[in-house]
Amino acid sequence: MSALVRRLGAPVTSAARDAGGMTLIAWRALRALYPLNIEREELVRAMYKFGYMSLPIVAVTAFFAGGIMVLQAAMYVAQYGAYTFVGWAAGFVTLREMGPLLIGLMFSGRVGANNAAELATMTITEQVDALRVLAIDPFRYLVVPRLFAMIVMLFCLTAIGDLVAIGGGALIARLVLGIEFRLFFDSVSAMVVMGDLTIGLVKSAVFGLAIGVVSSHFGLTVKGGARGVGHAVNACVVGNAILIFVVDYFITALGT
Amino acid sequence: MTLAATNLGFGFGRRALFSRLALSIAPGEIVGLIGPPEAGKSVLLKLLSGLLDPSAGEVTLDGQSFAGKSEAERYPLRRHIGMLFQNTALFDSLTIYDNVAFPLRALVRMGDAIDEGAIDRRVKEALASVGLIDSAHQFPHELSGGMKKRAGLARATVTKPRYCFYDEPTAGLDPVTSAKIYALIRAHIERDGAGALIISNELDTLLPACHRVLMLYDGALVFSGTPAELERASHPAVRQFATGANEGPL
Repeated sequence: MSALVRRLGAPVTSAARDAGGMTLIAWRALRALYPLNIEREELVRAMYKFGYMSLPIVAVTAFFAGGIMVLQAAMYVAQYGAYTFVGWAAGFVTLREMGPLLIGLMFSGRVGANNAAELATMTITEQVDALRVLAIDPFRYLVVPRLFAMIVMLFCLTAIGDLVAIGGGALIARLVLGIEFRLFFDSVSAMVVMGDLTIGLVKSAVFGLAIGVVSSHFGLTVKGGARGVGHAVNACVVGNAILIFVVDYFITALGT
Repeated sequence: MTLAATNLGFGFGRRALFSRLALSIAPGEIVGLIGPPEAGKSVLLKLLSGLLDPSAGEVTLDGQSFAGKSEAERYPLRRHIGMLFQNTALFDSLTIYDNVAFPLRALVRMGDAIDEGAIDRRVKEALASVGLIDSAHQFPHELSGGMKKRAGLARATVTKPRYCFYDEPTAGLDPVTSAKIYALIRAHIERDGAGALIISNELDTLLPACHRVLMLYDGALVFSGTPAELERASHPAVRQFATGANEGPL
């Protein structure tokens, strides 16, 4: 009986352990803000790796996402002659939802998974223990700079991705629907409000925090060898995808 | 001035790995630690360096205990410890030069006044002493197993720690490279007067380098004596381990 209870309760205790570990990471990272205590060299290195190196993939994704939105709407736009609303629709959906969500998921797959794999490998090859022997706090040295780099760079990538997506939408609108660029961008500037941009960027920063916390947690709590690394990356990708949608729902609910 | 463990106990969950362990390492002394796989040798090394907390007893370094101290409070003690990990644990993202400079830069963070010029000189000295000066700007994945071990040795000893732990320093290496590694360890101990604990089951190379040998078996230190006394040990597991006999408790 007790074995059965243990078996049934194992996923619950495991989830509680993960939730506790992630909360602890977020709390310790927040504490590093006051007094400001971030390894600058590691922060710059992480910003370059996570942000600059992600730029091409984000730009391509955003461009086609913007184009797809216009393509999907094209048939109805032509049917109802709603040409003046195309820019607004593309801008509204991109800034509030598609931009942060798609770029967040791309970032999670590229940067979050990479971070989890790297931290997990460092843990199983005793590099994290080596830091501790050398009197370096692994959390301060490895986690805090990466976490803040993810928040800042996902924010910046989303802002850039939004622009590229709207640009992609404008180009496809011109090519497929024959809508002039001026009409498209007039529609964007007249109907899209600052709040649409703000809520999307707030989402991106929170997604960055979530990706940093989840990937660091699974990376540092890895058990076993190569199999453990695989499991950590898998748990990180799944955990991030779920958390991104959950967080997105609540921010959207609060922001409407 | 010694590193001492008293009444040390440790276990995973309900399984006790060892209990009431006591040992000490004096400055200038090289102690070998042998024992069958999963006896807890690497765990003991982590307990001695304060990376793990014992379930009972304490570890003291020059009279100061790790017990009850936070991670940050342990740093001033750990600065006197150098460690060569079983897999070398070199940082993949750093060059060999930066790996060896890392402990010195860590001391700078702790408030030591070492300028970059002094760091550069000491890193080059350490790399020259292990014959890796020409590989300074290579990354760990570009080196052979023996070269990685030598780089790990340079990193472990560049701060001239008072105690050095070596976890399987010659595992997987050829006899010539193994002999070179032990020569480097001995040279470091003689130069700096440090105390050393070496985990290895390669008795041919380990025993000539040691002043004293300990054997961990079945949760206890079942032997402590000179290398010459090892083969004459009365404990059957020790005798079997030392002679490599097929018959016995192991």
